Amino acid sequence: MPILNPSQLDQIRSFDVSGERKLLQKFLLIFLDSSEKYMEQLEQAMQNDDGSNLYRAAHSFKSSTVNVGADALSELLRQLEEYGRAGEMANARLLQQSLRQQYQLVIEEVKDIIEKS
Amino acid sequence: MKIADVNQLKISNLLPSPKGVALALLEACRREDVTMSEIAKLVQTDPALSGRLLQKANSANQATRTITSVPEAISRVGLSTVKQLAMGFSLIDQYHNGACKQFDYQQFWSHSLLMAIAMQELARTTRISAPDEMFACGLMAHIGCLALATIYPDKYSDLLAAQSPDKPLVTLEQQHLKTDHNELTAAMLIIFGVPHIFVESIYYHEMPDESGFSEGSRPFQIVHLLYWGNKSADFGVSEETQGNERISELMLLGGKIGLDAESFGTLIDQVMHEWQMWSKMLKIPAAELPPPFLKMMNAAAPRQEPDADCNTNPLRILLVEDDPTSLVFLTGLLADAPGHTLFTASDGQQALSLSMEISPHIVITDWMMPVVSGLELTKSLRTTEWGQGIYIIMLTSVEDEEDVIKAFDAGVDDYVTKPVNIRAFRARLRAAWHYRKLQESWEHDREQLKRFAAELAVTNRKLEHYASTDMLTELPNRRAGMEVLTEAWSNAVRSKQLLAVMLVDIDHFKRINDNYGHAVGDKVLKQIAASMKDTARKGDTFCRLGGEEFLIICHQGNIDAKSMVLFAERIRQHINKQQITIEEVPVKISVSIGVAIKEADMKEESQLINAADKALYAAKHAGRNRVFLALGGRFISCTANKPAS
Repeated sequence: MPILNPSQLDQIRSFDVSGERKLLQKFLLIFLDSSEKYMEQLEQAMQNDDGSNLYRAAHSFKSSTVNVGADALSELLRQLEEYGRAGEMANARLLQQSLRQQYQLVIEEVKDIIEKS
Repeated sequence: MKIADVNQLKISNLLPSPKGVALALLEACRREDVTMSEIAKLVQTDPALSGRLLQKANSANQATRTITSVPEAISRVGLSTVKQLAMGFSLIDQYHNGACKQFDYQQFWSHSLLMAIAMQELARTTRISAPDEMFACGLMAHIGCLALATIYPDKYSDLLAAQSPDKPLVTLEQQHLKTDHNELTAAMLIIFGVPHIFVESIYYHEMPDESGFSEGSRPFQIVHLLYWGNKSADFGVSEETQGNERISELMLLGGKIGLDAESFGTLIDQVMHEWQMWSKMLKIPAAELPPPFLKMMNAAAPRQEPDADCNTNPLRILLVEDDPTSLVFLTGLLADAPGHTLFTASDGQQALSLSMEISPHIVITDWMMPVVSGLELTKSLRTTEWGQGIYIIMLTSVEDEEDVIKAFDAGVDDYVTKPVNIRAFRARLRAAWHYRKLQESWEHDREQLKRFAAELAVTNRKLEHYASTDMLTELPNRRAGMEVLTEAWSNAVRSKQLLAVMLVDIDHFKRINDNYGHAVGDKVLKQIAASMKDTARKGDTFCRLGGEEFLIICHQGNIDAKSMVLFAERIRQHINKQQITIEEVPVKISVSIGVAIKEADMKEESQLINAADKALYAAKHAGRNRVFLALGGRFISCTANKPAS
C-alpha cells in the first residue's frame, strides 16, 4: 500500500490544471499544519484516558487524511475512532506506536511532494 | 382620439378601398332610404360574399336551424355589420399581396382574422356587444397598417425593419410619416361608416389605459375586449416558445374580463377551430391547430439544463466544514461548478448566523463539528421559516445506514460520503439545482395565481356592487333592498324590536318624463335620491325600488309612530323646498309618503310593505305631497290639510 494514494492527489491537481494557483501546495501545507494539531489532540486524549476526545480527534483527522489519500493512516484513525467511541483505551494505546510511525511517513512524503512541486 | 387627416396628408385617393359589390354596398348604405331587399340583391350578385355571409350568420348563430337564404342572413347579422364584413372581405381579396417588402400581407390578414374570431367569441361570452359587430371590428382593427404599407411601400418597409422594443412602430410612423396606423385606422373606419363608439375603442385598443374611458362604461369594456382579442391573436400567430410565455399573460387578462381558466381555455380552443375554417374560406394562412389550450396551460415548463440560465440567477451555496483540508478540497471541487456563489463556515454556529444573513439555497455541511454539529445545524435551520426550502446535503464519513437515517430524520435532503468523489458530488449538486429551479418556478406560479385571484376578487366585488346597486341613483336596488328588509324582519321578530318602512313616490313624475324627456327625468331622480340621503339617520336604508318609487327601511333608533311620522314629514318638506331647474325653469317637485310600522298581527314582511303601499295610495288620493301612516288597518293623514309649499 503506498503511503499516499496518488489518485486522490491527482484529483486535487485536476482542480488546478495549470498549477497557477499552487492549489496542491497550499492544500498540503494546510494538511501539515492541521495534522500537527490533530496529533497533539490524539496524544493528549490517550494520555488522559479520554475516549470521547479521542473519538472526535480521530474522526476529524481521518477526514483530513482521506483527502490526501493517506489510506494506511486513515485506516489506523478509523480503528482509533472506534476504540475512542467504545472507551477501549487500552486497545487504543496499542496502536499508538503505529500511529506515530505512519504519521511520520505521511509527513515526510507530503513535505517531499511540496518541495518537488 | 386623433384621426388622420387624409386630405392634408394627400392620401385620400391612395387609401385601400373596397371594389365592386362592397363599394356599391357602401354607397347604398349612405342613402337613408335603402331597403333590406336592395341590399340583399346587391349581396346576391357576388356569390363569394353571399357564401361568406351565410357562413358568418351561421357561425354566430346558436340556434339549431341553419340559415340558408341571403336576406335572412342579412337580417340576422344586421345591415351595418353586413356592410363592414363586405368591406373586410373585399379588402382581403384585393390585398393578398403587395409592394411593401417587409409587410407580410398573409400574416397580416391571418392575424386580423384571428382577432376577429376572438372578438366574436368574447362578445358572445361577455355579452358586451353583438358578436358579428365585434367580428367586423376585429377584422378591421389594424387596417391602418395595410394602408401605410399600400401608400408608402418603401418607407414603411424601412420602418418595419427598424422597429424594436425601444422604438415601437407607432413612434416611428409618427416620426417619418406624420401619422400612425391607429389614426389612419380611425380615419378609414369613419369613411366606412363604422359607429363612433367602435372607432374610438379600436383607436385606443393597443394602449387601453390611455383611453380615459371611465371604468365599467361600455367603451371601457369594448376597448379591453379589443386589447384582449389583439393579445389572443398575437398568441395564435406566435412561435411555440413565445406562446408559452404568453399563456399566463392571457390568463390574467381573462381574469380581468371575468373568465375563469376553464371557460377561457374552451374559448381559445373554439377560436382556434373557427380560425382554421375561416382561413380556408378566405384563402389566408392559419397555424396548425395547437394542442387544447388547457393541456398547454397545465403542461410542465420545459426542463432547463443547469448551464442554461444559471448566470442570471446564481445559487448561494454555504459550505460548512471544520477540517481545513476538507474545506480546501471541497472548495476546489465547487470552484468550476457553474453559476453559484460560495460561502464557507467552519462550524455549525458560524453557519447558522451566516445563513440568516445570506439565506443560502444549498447548504453542504459536515456532520461532526465542534460546538454545533451538522445534525444540530440542520434541525435548527428546519425550525425557521426561511430554512424550510434550503437544500441540505450532509457529508458523512462512512455509509452507516443508521447514521444516514438519523440525518434524514433531522431534515437533510441528501448525503455524500467522504472521501468525496467528484462525479458523484457534481451529480448531487445537479439534483440540488433542479430542486431549486422547481421551487423557484413554483413560487413564481404561486405569485401569478395570487395576482390572478386578486384580479378576480376585484372583478367579483364589482359584479356584486353592480348587481345590488341602482346605477342611476347609486342607491341599493330593489333586490338589495328586499334582502335588507328580510334580514331586518327576522331580526325584529327574534329580538322583538320595532321595524318601520316608508314608501316614497315622486308626484306627477310621468309628466316630467313626458314633457322634458327621460334624460331630464333621470336628473330629477338623481337629485331627489341625493337629497333624501341627506336626511338619513343611523340605521336607515334607502333604496330605489324602480321607477320613481323609493323604499326606506328603519330598523334602529327612533322608530315609534311619532318619530317615524316626523321623519317622513322632514323628508317631504326637504324635497318640497328643493330648487330643481329644468331647462332653466325652476320646477317644484313633491313626494307622497306612506309609512307603516310592524304590527303584532303581521306574519311576514310583505304585509308591512303592503300597509305602507296602502298608506301611500291614501296620500296620493288625498291630493299628494303629504304623509300617511298605516295603523291598525286605518290610514291617518299626518300632514296639515294645506301643506305649506
